[in-house]
Amino acid sequence: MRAFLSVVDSIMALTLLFLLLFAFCTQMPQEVRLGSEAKVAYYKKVADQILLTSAMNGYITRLLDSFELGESMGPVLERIVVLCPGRLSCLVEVRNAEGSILCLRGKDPISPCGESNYFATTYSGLLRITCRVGSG
Amino acid sequence: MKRNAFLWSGAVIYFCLILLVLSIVQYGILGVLDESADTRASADRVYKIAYNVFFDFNLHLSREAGRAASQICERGGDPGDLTSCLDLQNWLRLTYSWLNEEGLSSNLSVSRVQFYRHREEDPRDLVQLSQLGLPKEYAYYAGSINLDAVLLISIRDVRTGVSRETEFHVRSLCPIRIFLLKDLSYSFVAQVTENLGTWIRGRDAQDLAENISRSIVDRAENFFWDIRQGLFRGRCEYHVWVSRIGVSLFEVSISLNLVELTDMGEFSFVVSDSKRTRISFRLRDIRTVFRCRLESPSDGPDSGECEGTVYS
Repeated sequence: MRAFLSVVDSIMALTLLFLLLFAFCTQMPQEVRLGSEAKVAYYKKVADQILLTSAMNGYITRLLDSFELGESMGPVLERIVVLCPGRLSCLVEVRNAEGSILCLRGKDPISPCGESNYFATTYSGLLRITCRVGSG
Repeated sequence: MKRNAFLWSGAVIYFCLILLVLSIVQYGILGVLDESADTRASADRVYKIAYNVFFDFNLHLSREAGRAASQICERGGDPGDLTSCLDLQNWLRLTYSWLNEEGLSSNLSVSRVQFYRHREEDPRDLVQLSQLGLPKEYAYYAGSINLDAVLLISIRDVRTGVSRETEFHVRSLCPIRIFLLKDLSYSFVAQVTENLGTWIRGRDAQDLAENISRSIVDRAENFFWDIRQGLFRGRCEYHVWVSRIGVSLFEVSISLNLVELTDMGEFSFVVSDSKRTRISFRLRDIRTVFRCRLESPSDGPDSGECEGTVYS
């Protein structure tokens, strides 16, 4: 009888251990993932704000002028990069409709990072301006 | 001992059950949090894209107005035809294609598009001006093109089902002063034709032609000097023919082959063929024929002509 009880106790103790381990394995990564997602959402929001502010300040218009005039888009992209908050790093790139990078400025942030796109139509097609923000 | 083991086992089972319930509750809460964060992110994205479409539309409309103004100015046409030169099909096609690529179903509707003369008492939207790279206060907007339109954007994120419908009102401007260019061009022509009577003097046909030519040059130089203060540049090509048709009766034919006024405003240009192009309003072949008598004509040549070009 004693031995039987010890076996029951052992099973219970092992079950407890297993459940604790299971809870740790399932809950912790989800919390980590949520934390990471919250960070990405914040960086994405900053990237959205950078692009919308650039548009409102006329930088996107100047960027398109530079593109259509065959001038360097670098100086305008540098002005966009300056809009990034100081403690974050930001990379801004312009791609054409085929996905080739036409120009890029800034520092590529460390993962996790948030990304936002701005589309601009020109007479010669579509341009995609991508802004990536993260901790640097 | 037996009772202790039983109590321990019961406690462990009870503890496990509590842990399980808590775990399930927490899992549910995390799921709700995850879903609401996802919905919020999608709503932010749809909001930003709606503004992206609106800003792009405003820029496209301004460029289309510039392109239409360029065509109308080239043929000396009526700025009232600006709206009929508008082409939005290419923009709509490109915009629908990228919205589709982004996983958004969309419906765009453009209405109440109006291009009309800008007046100082009709202020434009400052954000929209700033977006076009135009200052809010500028002395040389008068006579340029006001752009009014309504853009209804309806976007739905196919993945999350988040949707947004917004009506944007375009109240911006294309800084090309086409209305003023037209007024000034016709004003110059009127100044030439209305003053012809005072320019009739000379001894013979050639002398009369030269006198009229000098008067045209004087008038054009003065006119171009005046409009230069308003950042315009002018050019006039003319031809004067005079022929004697009676003892003292002459027939005068004046042709303003080209009256060209160019808007030299800081922002008044269109980008085409990889270069900035100034907009010039051109009137061609404006001809006036009239008869006049000279007081005491001499026996000089029976016909005469003069031609020239005046620039500013």
